[in-house]
Amino acid sequence: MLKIFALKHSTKLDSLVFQEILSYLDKGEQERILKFYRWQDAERSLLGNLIIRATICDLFQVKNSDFEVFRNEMGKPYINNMPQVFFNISHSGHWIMGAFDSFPVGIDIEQIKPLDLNMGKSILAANDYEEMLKMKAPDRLKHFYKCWTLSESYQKMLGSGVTLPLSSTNNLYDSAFFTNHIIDDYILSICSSHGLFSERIIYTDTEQLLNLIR
Amino acid sequence: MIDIARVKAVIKEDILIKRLELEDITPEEIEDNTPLFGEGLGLDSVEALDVVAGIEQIFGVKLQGISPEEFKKHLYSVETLAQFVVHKGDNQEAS
Repeated sequence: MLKIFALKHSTKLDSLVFQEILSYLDKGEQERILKFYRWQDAERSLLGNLIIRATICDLFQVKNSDFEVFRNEMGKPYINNMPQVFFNISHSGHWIMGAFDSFPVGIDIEQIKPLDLNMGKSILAANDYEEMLKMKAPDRLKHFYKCWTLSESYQKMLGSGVTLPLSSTNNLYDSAFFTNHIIDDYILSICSSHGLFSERIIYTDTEQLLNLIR
Repeated sequence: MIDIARVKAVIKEDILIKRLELEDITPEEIEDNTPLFGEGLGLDSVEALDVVAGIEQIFGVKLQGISPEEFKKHLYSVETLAQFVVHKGDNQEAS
């Protein structure tokens, strides 16, 4: 069963906690995290790594040192010596989300922030853009983000990247299975090759995750 | 011929700082080869769309219809984005 984890991150981590989490990561990942300009980005990426490692330690009863996390050429993380493990991470604003499954999975969360919707014409598929124009103003933004997160979650499941304009949502629904959640002012889309979604999101915190990895 | 130094300055000041509202970063801090996404500046995918829209609005250069690999390559840094704008802009002027 596909499992979804959510971690809220709204205040800066204690420096000792930051260093502890960093110590659990591969050298290359540590260097990548330390190169971020903004601490928020560094910590979101760090905590995404913590979700991956702690969850795999817990689900498969392995030690953190038993596996390495690699990235494909599009930046998608994977583990090479556990072929039955599929996972994906997404973060936006205060939320870091992780999806874990025995089959390929993609996840995308976005904070619904004001956006110049005129750019939707060159980004959305023609039918999704036309549908957006028929909507009342407050619903248009949500529609835009829904189309975006559906497409992102699909691309992330495949391990590929963005092409513009996006595929139409009708084509996406014909190609894979999707579920959506609204969390505060965020929209979350999850894409799977099967339709067995858990309705429950597992909310966790840094301390719980650290206890799984220590 | 478009001046690449000017293009880089516009990308940093008008697109990255003003359009994306990266208030805590100055244009001088952004190095030409700093990664924009996934590390470095740490922009997310919706911010990538805003960069694409800004490039189209300011320079009239579109990134639509290119492969994911090319998309990632051109949006890697200010340097690669400016090179793309200059070459695509020159091609558009010539055609």
